[in-house]
Amino acid sequence: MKIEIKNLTVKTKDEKEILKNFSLTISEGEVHAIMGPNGTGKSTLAKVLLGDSAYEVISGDILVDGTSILDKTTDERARMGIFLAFQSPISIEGVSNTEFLKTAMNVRREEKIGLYPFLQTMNQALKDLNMDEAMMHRSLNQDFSGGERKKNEILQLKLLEPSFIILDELDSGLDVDSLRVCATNIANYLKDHPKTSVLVITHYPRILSYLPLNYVHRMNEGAIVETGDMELAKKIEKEGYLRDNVLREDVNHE
Amino acid sequence: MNKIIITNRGVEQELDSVLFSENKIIFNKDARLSLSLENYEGSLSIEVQEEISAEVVLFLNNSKVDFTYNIKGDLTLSSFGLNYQGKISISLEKEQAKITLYSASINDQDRKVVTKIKHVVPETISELVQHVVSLKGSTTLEVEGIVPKSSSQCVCKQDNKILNFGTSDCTILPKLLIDNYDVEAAHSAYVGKFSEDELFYLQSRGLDEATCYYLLLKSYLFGKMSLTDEEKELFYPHIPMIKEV
Ligand SMILES: Nc1ncnc2c1ncn2[C@@H]1O[C@H](COP(=O)(O)OP(=O)(O)O)[C@@H](O)[C@H]1O
Ligand SMILES: [Mg+2]
Repeated sequence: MKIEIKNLTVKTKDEKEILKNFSLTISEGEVHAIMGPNGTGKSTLAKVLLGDSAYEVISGDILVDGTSILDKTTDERARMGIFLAFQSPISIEGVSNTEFLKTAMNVRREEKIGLYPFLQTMNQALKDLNMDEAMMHRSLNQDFSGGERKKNEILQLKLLEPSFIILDELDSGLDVDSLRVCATNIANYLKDHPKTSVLVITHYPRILSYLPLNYVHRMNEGAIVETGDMELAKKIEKEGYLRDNVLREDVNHE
Repeated sequence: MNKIIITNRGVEQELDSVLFSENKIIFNKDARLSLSLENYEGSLSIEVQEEISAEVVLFLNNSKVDFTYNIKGDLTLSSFGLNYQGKISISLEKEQAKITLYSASINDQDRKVVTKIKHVVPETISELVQHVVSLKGSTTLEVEGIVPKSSSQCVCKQDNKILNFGTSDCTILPKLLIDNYDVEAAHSAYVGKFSEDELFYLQSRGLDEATCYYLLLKSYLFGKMSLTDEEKELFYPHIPMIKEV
């Protein structure tokens, strides 16, 4: 799936401008990363791509394979194949994981998936992710640890088979082993779905090292300010986001 | 299996371990009871004797009933009401006595429910979760927890919510009368709608608004109850279809 974000300006309901003339093109099959300090608008970008009504698009456009999706609702965008792994997934008491997954899988299908093929697919995905089968009978994300919730996002990803994946700080809350398992699953998914494109929001290069990375962008105050590759990610990890400001301050002091 | 159905036409019952006569139900053995009240007006009292563990699933269909609970053992009560109105008086009368109340109601008329819970002796536990969906009209929940000075080491917890999809005001009036310092008391009250975050999460998985509301309402109303398949079949069809509110 090709995503073109063109000069996007977005504000909240209380008139706070968060994305400022933001532009980014992700071609079919590409993996892009965005790194940027807290509060710069990364999660906002992720949610706006899925049409979160908490935000208003003031100007600009979002095109999917050449067609604007701004008039599409969140669920329509999801059914087109856009998937967001949330930074903080919610829980719902009394709705089992299994029921939720089956419902979500069926909304994109002409023909409903039968119970047996569903269980087979789910059990395979659970095995791939080193997840306990018993978790599936529990309520959606209820009493799941932070890491288990993140894994559950990747389980949903595998079953829903998206064409554009947004990972919003998947690596926060995952231990090193779980991160490797999740990232490897995504990498394998991309091998099987070479047209699927990815936007990874992260603070750390580790997750990127598992993926077929094309570009790394540094974002600041609602826009992309620098583009590079893995080297940029490593530089940011070493020097932090503030180095521009710090250097400038140093110069001023002299 | 224990089952009682009370309507304005009379009483049907099928009982093997619960005593029932003249508007009084007594648990003197561990048991589970399914109790339905339809188009009924009246009063009912339920007694759980010492060291007995009782479970009651209550269906209140268009009924106006006052309940009195005298609890010396342990009662888990799951109650589902359609336009239910009435007074609920609970009294915990023996050390270690405990009530867990999960109450779900759907109203499309003005309704008021008054719940009073009294911790008569020390070391008693009450946990009340009352969730209402108001589609039309105004719903009022009055909740009162009483722990007298002599009743130390009690737990008295209340969680009340009204989701208001109508245009009238809904009100929760909580009152905790606690005269003892050694008590774990908590009260939360919320009148409003589902959070946008919850809706957004479900919609982001491709579920349309009606399906999202269905799942969220099912969770809100019945999430904590442990119901049999038969009870689910009876209750779930009442989950209202809600679109764009
Ligand atoms: N719905 C909202 N209403 C008001 N302010 C918001 C809302 N969403 C985000 N913000 C604010 O916008 C800024 C960017 O937030 P966010 O996109 O979550 O940043 P990041 O993910 O880069 O840390 C923050 O200052 C945040 O407080
Ligand atoms: Mg964020």
